[in-house]
Amino acid sequence: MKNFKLSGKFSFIWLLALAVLLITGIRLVRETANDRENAVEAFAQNGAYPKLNNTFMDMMR
Amino acid sequence: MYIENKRTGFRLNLLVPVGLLTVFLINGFFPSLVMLLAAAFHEAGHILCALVVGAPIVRFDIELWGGRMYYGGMLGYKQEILVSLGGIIANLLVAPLGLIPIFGMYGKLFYYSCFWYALVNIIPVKSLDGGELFRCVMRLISDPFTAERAENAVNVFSVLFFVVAGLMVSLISGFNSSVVFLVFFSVIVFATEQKKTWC
Repeated sequence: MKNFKLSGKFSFIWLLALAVLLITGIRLVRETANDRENAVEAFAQNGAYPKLNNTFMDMMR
Repeated sequence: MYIENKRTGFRLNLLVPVGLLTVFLINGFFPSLVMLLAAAFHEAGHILCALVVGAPIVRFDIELWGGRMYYGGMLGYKQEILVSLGGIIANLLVAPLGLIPIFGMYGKLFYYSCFWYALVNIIPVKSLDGGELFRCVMRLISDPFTAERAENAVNVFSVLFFVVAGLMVSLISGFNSSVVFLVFFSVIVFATEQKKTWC
């Protein structure tokens, strides 16, 4: 581990980038999980699976 | 900010784990792995071309967009053009492998990922391969002063083009969560990268 060290400047824009990435990431992951859950529920209730639009794979289906 | 291994010259931008984790959580393990494979071929193309022109790699950074190499010694502009083109050529060469029917949807994703890598990297933004290509071509055909002015002007237009194209792709995809994140991700990279260039 002694070969590893932190480098580079810790700037305001870096902190802002980290915050935006974290907030967007968490929101989108939760939204995706919700959409998938709702889709499974809808399928159980009326046998129809709604078209999802969260992953890259969804765009190719 | 980076975490750096001083012995091997390997650096990792600490924003990368956050971005990668989000991509993995939304898209699942295998689709994310396929996209990383396309990135790996891109970097392998650069490394192969660097070896062909005889440039020793002294440092390798993992950034949000992929890797960035620093080589020891001086390279001619024509050699730099070849190394910059290496990634794009590698992506275009391996992309058709994804269309082999046994790979199914994962193959198709690999095919599109390779083209996406090639297309994005040809945009002449300073932090991308296209920017490096444009810089070397300008240095070959004009004086340093004109070349630098042209690079800065093209860079500004390229960043604007990238933002507009990102918004359009988001709209066309029906605001697909992964696409929206990718566009966000890219704009953030450019914001942090451009700070180094403009300030």
